[in-house]
Amino acid sequence: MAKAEIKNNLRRLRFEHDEMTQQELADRSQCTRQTILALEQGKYVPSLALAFQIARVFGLKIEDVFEYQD
Amino acid sequence: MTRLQKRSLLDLIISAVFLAGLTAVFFSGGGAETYVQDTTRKILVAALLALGYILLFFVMFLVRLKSKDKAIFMDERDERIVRQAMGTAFTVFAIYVFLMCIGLYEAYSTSEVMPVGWMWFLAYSSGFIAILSRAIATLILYTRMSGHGES
Repeated sequence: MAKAEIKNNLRRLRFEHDEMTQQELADRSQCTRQTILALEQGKYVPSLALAFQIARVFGLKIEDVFEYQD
Repeated sequence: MTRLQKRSLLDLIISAVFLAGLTAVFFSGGGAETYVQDTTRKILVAALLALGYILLFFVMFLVRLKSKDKAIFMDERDERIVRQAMGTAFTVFAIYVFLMCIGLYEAYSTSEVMPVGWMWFLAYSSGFIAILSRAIATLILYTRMSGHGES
C-alpha cells in the first residue's frame, strides 16, 4: 500500500484568524502547543477527533483544514 | 520541552547511573561466584537499588503529568508516544532477559552448576533496563514527532 500524506493549512489559517498563536489554538482544541507545532511541521498526523476539533476552532470543514494526498 | 520529556530525561539519567553502579559493585570482588557470601556488596547494592527507585519515584511525583488547574500537559500525541515507548521497552526487556539466559546457559552448560548470584543480577538489572529503554524510546519518539519553532 502506497504511503499517503496528510497535509494541513494550520499556519495559514492561524494567521488568517487574527494571527492566532499556537498556544491559543492548542488551548481551544484541547491539545498541547507542541502538538500544534508538530502538526504544522508535518511530523504528526492527528486523530480524527483532534482534526475535527481544530477545524471547529476555525469554523471550517475538516477537508478545508486537512488534505489527504496519495 | 514537555513534562513527559523532562521526566524521561531524568529517568534516563537515574536509571543509567544506578545500572552502572549496580553492575560495577556486582562485578567487583569476584562477581557472581562470591556475591551471595559477600554481605558488604549485598548491602551496598541493596542501598543503591533502594536509592535508585526512591529517586525514580520522586521524579514521578515532581514532574506530575496532571494538574489541578486543568492545564493540558499530555494529549493524544504524548499518549501515543508513551504507548510506543512502552512497547519498545517491553521488547528490549524481553531481548535482554533472553540474551542473559542464553548467555548464562552457554557459559555454565559444561559445569552444570551456575552461581545463584546471576539470578539476582538478572532480576534487578532488568528493572533498570526496562526504565532506561522506555526513557530512551520516549526521547527518540519526541524528536521524530515534534519540532522547534514559534510559540
